[in-house]
Amino acid sequence: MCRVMSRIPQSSSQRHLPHRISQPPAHPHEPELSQVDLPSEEVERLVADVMRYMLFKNHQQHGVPVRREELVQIITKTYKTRNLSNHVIQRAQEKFRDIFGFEMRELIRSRQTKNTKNPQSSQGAAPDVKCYILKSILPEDLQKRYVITKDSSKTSSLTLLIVSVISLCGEKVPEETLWSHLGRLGVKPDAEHPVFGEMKQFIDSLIKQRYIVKEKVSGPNGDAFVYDLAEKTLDQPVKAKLDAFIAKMVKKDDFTVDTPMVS
Amino acid sequence: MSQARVLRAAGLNEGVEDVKLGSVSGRRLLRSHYRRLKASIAEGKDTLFREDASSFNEIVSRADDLYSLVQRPREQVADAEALLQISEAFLSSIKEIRRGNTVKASDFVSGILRNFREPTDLASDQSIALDWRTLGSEANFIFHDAPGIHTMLGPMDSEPKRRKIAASRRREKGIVAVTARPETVADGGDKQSHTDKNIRAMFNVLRRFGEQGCELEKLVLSRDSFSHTVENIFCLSFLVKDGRAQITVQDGKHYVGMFLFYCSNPTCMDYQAQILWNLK
Repeated sequence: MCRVMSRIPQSSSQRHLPHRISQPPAHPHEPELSQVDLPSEEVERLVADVMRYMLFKNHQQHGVPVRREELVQIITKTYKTRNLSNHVIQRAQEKFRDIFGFEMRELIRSRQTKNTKNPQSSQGAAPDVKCYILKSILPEDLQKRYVITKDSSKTSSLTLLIVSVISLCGEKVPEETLWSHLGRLGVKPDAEHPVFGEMKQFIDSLIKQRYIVKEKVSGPNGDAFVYDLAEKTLDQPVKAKLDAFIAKMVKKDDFTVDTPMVS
Repeated sequence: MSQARVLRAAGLNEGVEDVKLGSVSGRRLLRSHYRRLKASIAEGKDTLFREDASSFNEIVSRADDLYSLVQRPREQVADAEALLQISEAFLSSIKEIRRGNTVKASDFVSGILRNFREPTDLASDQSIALDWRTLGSEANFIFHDAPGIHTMLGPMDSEPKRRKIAASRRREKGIVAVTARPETVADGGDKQSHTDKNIRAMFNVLRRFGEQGCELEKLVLSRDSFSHTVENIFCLSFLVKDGRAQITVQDGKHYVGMFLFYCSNPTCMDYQAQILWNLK
């Protein structure tokens, strides 16, 4: 944290006269800045608004991904310049990394069966929903000392167990299967847990935070609920670490990442 | 095969002699056995299809034996549900094999219990207790959740309250009520005393002239202002009414003098007496 705090963002240390951003891009992946025809102070103000929104949302609804549409709405409230959203979000990601030690990670939520609307997107024909979450990228010893609290540890522990069980049971895990495994760990759906409280509320919070997703399927016995992993768990770094943890628990050296189901 | 033999073969030796399968109680008993069968399928789902396990054969034979006792649709539904459960367990097992995942969820749960289970107090209700804190420290380095910043208090779009500037309405210029200025309102009170002052002043003037009095025109007339004249006449009228002054006619001229016969609250008899007295 002291390493992060010692760095002063460039915009606050140097006073510039407002000037138009018309320089060629420094990196090939950056949007063409000549098209972002705004004073740098205005761009910095938009970046600050986006960062503030992300921090507020992370506090109000901890761990819930923020949709890209909401960020674009903030940016385009005043200015409708092309590529401005991309530029501002990219700058916000850099500033989060430099100032807070956060990674503003982009996740893609695929729209599946329920949506019958025409796909709408501002960037081409991709129907998927992009959203952003904040993750800490501090070294582990600094996280242990300054970031991780008792409450967050306990919540993460049950989250880890639930996503591991769903990951091992395959896709579309029935509700009874999940609770039968969790029952062996002393976690029951109807009884209030001494550490986690109401389990149904806990599961709902995991669904909101997009660790897991719950769907209703109709079967011969009526409607039933099934669980599957969501984009926050399917994110590659998280999935790899999850598989490593599972392998450690079962002490299997040759445990591999799940291959996609062949229909 | 007799029904009793079938029940014994199915391991349902309890109360065999009392079961009359055509009766309501017998059918109820059969349905409870089906429920027990379904529970055993659910419990042993993960080990059902292992090569070395014989539980699959046992369960299927039990289901067959129970089915031979089925006579009514309700029991038939229970039997179909048990078979469905066996089929679903088989399907999930096939899916796991196709996925190539050799780790089962039950093995993982066993590993968790092996590594993180805490010794529990026998007196407590909770039978299983895990070291959630240690497990959480493992989880934090997997998910890397960013902490919430607790200085963000209140709604995000809160701004300091600005006083609303009241928009002034244009009022129509119509006289709803007579506006009065304080000085004019005060004058209303002074008018009474102003008249009294004039009366007193006029009486003092008359006193100087005594009983003979002075000419009426010289007393009341004001050559500069007609309104003063009217006021003077007004004041004189009060003096005459009160009986403190009199107006007489002498040599064709009107004279105003003090009237010594002064009484407060004169009645009409007094006025008659004055007139009679003057007429003498």
